[in-house]
Amino acid sequence: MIRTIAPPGGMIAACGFLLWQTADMTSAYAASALFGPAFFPRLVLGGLILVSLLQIVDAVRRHRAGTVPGGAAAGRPDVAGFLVALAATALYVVAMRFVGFLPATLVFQAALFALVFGMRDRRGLVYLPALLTALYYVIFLRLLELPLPQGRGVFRELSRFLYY
Amino acid sequence: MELIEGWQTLLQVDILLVLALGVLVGLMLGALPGLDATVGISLLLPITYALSPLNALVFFTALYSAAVFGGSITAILFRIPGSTEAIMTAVEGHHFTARGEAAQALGIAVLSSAIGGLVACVGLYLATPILAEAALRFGPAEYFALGVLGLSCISSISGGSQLKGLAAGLIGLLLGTVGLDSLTGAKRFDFGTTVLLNGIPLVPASIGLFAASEVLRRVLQRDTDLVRTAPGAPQRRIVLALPRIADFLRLRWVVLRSSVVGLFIGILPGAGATTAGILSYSLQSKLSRDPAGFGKGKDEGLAAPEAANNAAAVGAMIPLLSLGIPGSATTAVLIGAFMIHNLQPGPMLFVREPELVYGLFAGMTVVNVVIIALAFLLVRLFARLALLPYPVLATGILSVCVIGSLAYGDADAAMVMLVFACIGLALEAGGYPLAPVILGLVLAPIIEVSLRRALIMEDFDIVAVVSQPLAATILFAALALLVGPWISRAVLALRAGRRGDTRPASNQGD
Repeated sequence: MIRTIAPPGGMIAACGFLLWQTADMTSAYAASALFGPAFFPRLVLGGLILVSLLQIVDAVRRHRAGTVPGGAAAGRPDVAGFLVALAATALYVVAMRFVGFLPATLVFQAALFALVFGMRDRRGLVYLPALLTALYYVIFLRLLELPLPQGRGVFRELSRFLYY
Repeated sequence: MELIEGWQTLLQVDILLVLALGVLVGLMLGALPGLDATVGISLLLPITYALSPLNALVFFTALYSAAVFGGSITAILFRIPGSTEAIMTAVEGHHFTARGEAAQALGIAVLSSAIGGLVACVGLYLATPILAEAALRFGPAEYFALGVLGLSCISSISGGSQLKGLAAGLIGLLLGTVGLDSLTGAKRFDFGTTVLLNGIPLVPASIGLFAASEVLRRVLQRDTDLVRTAPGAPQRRIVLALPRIADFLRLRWVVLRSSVVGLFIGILPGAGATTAGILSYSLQSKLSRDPAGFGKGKDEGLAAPEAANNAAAVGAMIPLLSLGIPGSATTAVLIGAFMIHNLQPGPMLFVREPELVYGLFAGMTVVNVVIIALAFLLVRLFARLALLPYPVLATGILSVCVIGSLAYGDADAAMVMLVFACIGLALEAGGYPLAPVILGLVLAPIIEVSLRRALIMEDFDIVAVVSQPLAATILFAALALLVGPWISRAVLALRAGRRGDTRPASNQGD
């Protein structure tokens, strides 16, 4: 039952914190103290607390009645793969600022193929990343001329040489 | 007479070529996340200096309509809403791909979109001044009521748990309040950073919530079959058959009703095609004989938002042309195209440039036929994309998610996308549906700003706000849609109970 009531319980705690935050939402331009900038967030937070309480009551009622739905049997999750994919995507976004769009994309794709999907041959490390990066280059930089990150220093020069 | 002249003006080789090009560019822009008709028109405005006014405007309206449909392609195949208009399509359409029926879904989407656009064109021809005038009667109270009507669909898109759906919708509404308050300029939930001052960007948020979270979930669960293998089947297979005419005709009332809803929502300034798609989906889920099938890959759930969002795109042109008021962000940018060519949209345009206006009307009609032709040529090709090896698709989807977010904003937008991917994953793990979150995020500004404006206008008397005739009617409809199914279920249960009571009695008698 703890697993069922933990999310609504956490939600109530978070709503309490956010309600406290609404105390700072004041404005001299508000036409009414009650219907000012904090009015709608408070209304929604109040609703969320109410719904979360109802969820807890529902969970307790089901537990007592013995009608707790059983979760579907799932296989062993690939937590390492998931964390690598998440970290690689975050690093990709950050790295793009420094090395530019094309080098970051090339390395990001190779990293995903090798570390998440286990394709550590030439196909996963070289051919597919190069092919996909070339595709993005044509679509996003050449055809649509999107202002994607150029990087810094030598990478900026490389980006300007290739697409600006 | 002017109508015929409009068609004569349009039926020239150069204009038709420009129109086809506009459709192609629009399909491509719509399919790419982060890029939509507004971005496309802004990017391409300068190149239309060289074109005649009619050519330029036909190009942009073709691009606009095609981009609204184009968003559904990636929404159906990969659960990436190519544009915000396709959010409900992503919710419903991706289930078709999982069943190997992507071509079927794309076929329904293209036919519904085109018919929605055509129905709206009829409205454009017949009722432009009347509809525009009616739309001007909508004040803040009515917009608030419309927003509430949109929210009333939460119960139908919540899957198993209504309470979890409601919680997800409220989370969306709360996220919609982040940033500067548009009425007073007060900061809300910015946590001392500048990143959140402009609010949660809808495009990166929806890309993260639906597309990136789906890839991460599949990686986590080692579920790398986009198209599920049927039990006992030797291999994954997709059905490339398009919907049969007879099957599609079953959806005729859904499409017609949604087109009319979309047309009217499109006319309302600021409401837009995204709201139209959500509202018509909501309405259809309530009117359907099988509401439980919504959110699981139901053809009605796909046809309704697709017809409505394209009709709304055409509808948004009505206030632009007849009153000079843009009905959406895209038509606001489109005003620039008029101005480049020394044209001022508004009532005088009908007097000074009737050929151009009616030529444009004819162009918008033909665009929908061209969308059908081009999309049907490409549908089978798109559907085959679902059979690419999942590592290639996953890597491509994650890259496009980042690029789409960057195209919309900057690295911060990409980070917002990633945060929403994690939120989406956590919510799905807890059994919370994702669609209500986006629904709340889209409708929060409409509901909040309209409610507060209406309260200011009525001297903070809430009863006066909700008792205005039009607003009260819409709110009553919202209440009926929300509570109606519960009441009918309770009545049915009561009747079934009575039958249960009487049967044993009659048996006893026997």
